[in-house]
Amino acid sequence: MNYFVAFTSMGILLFSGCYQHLLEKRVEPTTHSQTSTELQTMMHQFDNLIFQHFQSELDRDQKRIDYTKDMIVIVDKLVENSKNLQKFSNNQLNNISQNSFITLAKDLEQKSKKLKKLVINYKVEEISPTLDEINSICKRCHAELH
Amino acid sequence: MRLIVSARGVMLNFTKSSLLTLFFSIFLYADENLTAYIQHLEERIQTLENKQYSRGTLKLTSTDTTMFLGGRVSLDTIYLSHANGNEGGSNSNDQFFSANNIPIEPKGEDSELSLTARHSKFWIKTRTQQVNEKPLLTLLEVDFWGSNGNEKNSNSHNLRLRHAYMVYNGWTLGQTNSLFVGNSKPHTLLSPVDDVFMRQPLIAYTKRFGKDSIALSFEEAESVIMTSSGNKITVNDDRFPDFIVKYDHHSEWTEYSLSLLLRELNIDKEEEQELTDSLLAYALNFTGHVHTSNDNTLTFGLVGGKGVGRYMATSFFPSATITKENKLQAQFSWGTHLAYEHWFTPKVRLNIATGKVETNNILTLGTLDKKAWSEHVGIQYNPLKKLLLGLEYIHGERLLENDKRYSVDRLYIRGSYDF
Repeated sequence: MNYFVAFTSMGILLFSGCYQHLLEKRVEPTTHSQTSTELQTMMHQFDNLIFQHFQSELDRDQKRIDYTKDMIVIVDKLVENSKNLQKFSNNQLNNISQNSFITLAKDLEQKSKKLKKLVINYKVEEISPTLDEINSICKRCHAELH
Repeated sequence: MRLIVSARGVMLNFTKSSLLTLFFSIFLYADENLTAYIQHLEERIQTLENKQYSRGTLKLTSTDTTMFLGGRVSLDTIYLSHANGNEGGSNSNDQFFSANNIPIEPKGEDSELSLTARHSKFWIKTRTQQVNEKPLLTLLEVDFWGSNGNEKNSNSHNLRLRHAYMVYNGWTLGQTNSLFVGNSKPHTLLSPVDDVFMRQPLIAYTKRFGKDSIALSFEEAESVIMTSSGNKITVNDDRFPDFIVKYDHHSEWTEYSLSLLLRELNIDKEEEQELTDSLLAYALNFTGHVHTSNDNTLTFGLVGGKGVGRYMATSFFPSATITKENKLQAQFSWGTHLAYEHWFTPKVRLNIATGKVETNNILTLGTLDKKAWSEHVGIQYNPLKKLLLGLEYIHGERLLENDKRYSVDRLYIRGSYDF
């Protein structure tokens, strides 16, 4: 029984350690870069829905909603990453850059919330301008704090 | 002197406290003003943002309905190795590509050029918000494939109804594309020969489960039947609507749909046929696409069934045939396609596709169509966000039961802008 408890505890500890290691891996800037590329690809696919053959314009709108749901997941990942990046880059950024980074991260979070509202209310026409705003936040962040 | 000093001290203290009170009063007053001013500014920003988003939209505030206007302006320039031989204006067979439009023995119709702007279209969408419910959506869409104009003077082609339907709480009522049509089509300018296309009045109900959905519909029935002499006739003896059930799956990297069609084919002494008979027909359509890497996409499709008939390849094969024994028998036909889209840059992409259709003819007549196939290769360029310039080469062939083979080569140049 004691052996069982000891092995189980060791297993849990090892697993939690590995899991923590995996979590730590996720906060590396490379993960942010991959997610960012993923979002750019989806935005490009979203723009090109206009050229694809769909059943009708309403069907095209439904597809835009589906793509937006996928993009919200990615934007939320970026928001989460930005929080981790804050910790990661604490020592590398001065106060002004740190504040600027936090402001941009908050802006991104706001846009994600806005996208969620647009999807719920089926306001398809406002999705593309909101994606443009997200794109400009990403560009500003990369330009100012790269 | 002390008195004067203390009096000065009192005066000084009085002045300090007065100034502080005055400052805080002004500050509080200013703060109130500032809050009101910020609110005013926020309202103005909101109004400006709404104005920005309402480009191309019209809000009918009395009914809480928002109207959207849009469409496409398009020009197709087509060069054909063999044309179908119809005069200008009524030569839509030269402008649409399908297995039916691969000409059989076209004499004196070699090397023809055709231009058309009839793919241009116009649509009106509306969205009416409901309290605590999904909005009611409508779509009315027309293009210019109505009755023909002529090419001699004005090319005055008439409007044609494409879509007129509403969607509310999962229900679809009106005329639109059939549920049997797959959700993934090749991204070529024109579809391969196995194209599953049908637009008709229908009543459908769709239930969504996250990004997946299941839908049922009852749709307008119509039957294309081959007589025992080999002629295709469209009979008007339908008693029950076509029934379709469709499952659709969507994920980040793939999407596919599977549709099942069940319908009754019925003939009752139609067009000099002394026959009254009916049967149950069925068909399946599976289509999908996979994002292989970045934006590159592989698209595939497989369709077939006993009685698929008019739903595939624009009625190239009949749904059923009247046999020599004077009985109605469903005809098995099938089709498939495979297509790939490769992006060279974010604005330039290559599209290749191939498609095939085949049938098991019930009659043993040499002049009946047995199979057809097409290959497409094209390049598309988007200089602006909604502007498309495309070039596509198509080679199509059809084979008859007597093993005679006919082919056509077409070159399409398309310029279109979606507004």
